[in-house]
Amino acid sequence: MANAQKSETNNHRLLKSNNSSSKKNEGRGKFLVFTSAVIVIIATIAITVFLGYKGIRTFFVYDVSLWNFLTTTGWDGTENSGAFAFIFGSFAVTFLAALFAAPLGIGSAIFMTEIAKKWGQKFLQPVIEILVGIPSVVYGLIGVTVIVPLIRNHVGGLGFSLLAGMIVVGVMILPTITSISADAIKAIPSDIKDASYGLGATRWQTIYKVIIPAALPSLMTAIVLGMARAFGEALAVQMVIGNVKGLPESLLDSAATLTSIITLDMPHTTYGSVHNSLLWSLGLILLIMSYVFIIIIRFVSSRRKI
Amino acid sequence: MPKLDKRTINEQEYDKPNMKKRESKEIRTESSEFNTTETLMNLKNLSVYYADNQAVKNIDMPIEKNKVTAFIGPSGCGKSTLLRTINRMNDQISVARYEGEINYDGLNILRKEVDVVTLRKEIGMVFQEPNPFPKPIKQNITHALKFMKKPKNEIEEIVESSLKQAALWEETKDRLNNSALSLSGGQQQRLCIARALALKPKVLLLDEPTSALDPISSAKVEDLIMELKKHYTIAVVTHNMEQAARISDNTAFMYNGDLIEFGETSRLFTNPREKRTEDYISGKFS
Repeated sequence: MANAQKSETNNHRLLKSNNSSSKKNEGRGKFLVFTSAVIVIIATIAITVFLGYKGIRTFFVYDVSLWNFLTTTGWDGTENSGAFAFIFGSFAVTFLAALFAAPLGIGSAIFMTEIAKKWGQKFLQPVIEILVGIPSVVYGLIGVTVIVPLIRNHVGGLGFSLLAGMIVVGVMILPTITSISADAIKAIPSDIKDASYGLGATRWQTIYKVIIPAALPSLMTAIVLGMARAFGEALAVQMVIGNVKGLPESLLDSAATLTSIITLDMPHTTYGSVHNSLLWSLGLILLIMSYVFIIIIRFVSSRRKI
Repeated sequence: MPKLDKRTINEQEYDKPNMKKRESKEIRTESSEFNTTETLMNLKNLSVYYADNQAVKNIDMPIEKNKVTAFIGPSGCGKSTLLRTINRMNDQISVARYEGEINYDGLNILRKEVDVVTLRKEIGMVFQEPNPFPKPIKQNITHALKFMKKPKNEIEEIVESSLKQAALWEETKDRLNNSALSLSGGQQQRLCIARALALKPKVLLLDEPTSALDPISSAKVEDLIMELKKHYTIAVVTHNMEQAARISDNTAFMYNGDLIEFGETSRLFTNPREKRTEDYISGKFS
């Protein structure tokens, strides 16, 4: 019955029309969106493949031992170079900066969402969003002119140190952590806060036992995103960390990171040399680490409470 | 099951014109067990403002001990605001302010010096949407107890007794460490009641406790309220007039922030003094 009806009318207003102009429009839109997606995917894959090819060449073409490269120090641009000091430097700056910025960032996020709501959201949040946009060279400049002398005169050492790097990068990633944490805390449904207050919990008890646990996955994401930014930061770190190619022995020692060595050494190497290839390998480590951070973020943010 | 059957019959009866009288007779017999009327709380000339908007207007009424007081009225009439004022939950809203008094145990609890944290432990609250914490069932109960630094063995006892009181123990005793979010809506709401009971409050404020629940779960919560009034004083806001008639001893009808009529539920539903009360309970407006 139904089939019979269908075959009778091929020109019903509810049937898909053969109107060519609307079909064309639809196709054009589809093409535009599809192409954008394909370009982005190709770019990502191309960068990964290119960097992978360039980075791995060091170990196959120039016979540098991978184990040696990853675990020894001493960077002279030859086959015997080891990058451990820079890997260590990058991780040290990243974790120290996170250690410095995470409590401050989450604390100020709680302050502006739960404690001083009006003032926090009208004034503090816009200010922090502006901080995110300040170029890293500006942070570096402030680091060199303020923080480095401050450390040299009041704490000791040259001033160009891991400590300076930690502070400058920590301040840089602070707004990232703060604004993501603030959004996460704001997204917590007010009914569980009501529940806690209704049971006679104080504001701090509610923050500590209800708000922070409920927001924890997002807070972790905020910290890891901040760390990813710290790990990839080149310019500001290079300006304050001292760029010494050995392993730092204390917070006050100068050090170097993967990024700072790449930006420093790249202009002095000739294309196709071992030294040049070694730098590509450092770049490959950075890329792999950024993938690791993304995987961590995916894992952390998909993990729901209990 | 028998409870359920009774309820469905009752619901059918509501369609008949004689339903109010029958229902109120039942209530009168039930409330006769608690004949002694002792006023636990007295609202005096109480007004609540949100900025310049007066949500509750100069209300005078008592809340009697070990009775269920129902607040009915159309949406936006101020009944929830009034309820949230009783344990100062409106303090959370920065633009809210109060005028008048709520006298409770010889103290005006609207005074600035009142410690709202202690007050809320004594005057518990259950909200419209079941709002358990996203934690295990047991931790939902112990959440507030831990702040009070109760010893561990005492906490265990309270978990069991409050779940039993909320008629939830049999359903949850084998899975206390499962997430509270794995419970059904009705169970979650009873967990919220258990959570409030764990603090051994004197007064329980229920803000439309069954409006988000299905009929069977609602019936269970209603049975629970009837049971709890032996030990607690209960104030309940409800949209559902049949529910108010079923479970409450006294009813307050509010409209536009005014208290239009307050009285014994049986009297108010059968013989309302005010025209607007009559119109509302007979469904002429809502």
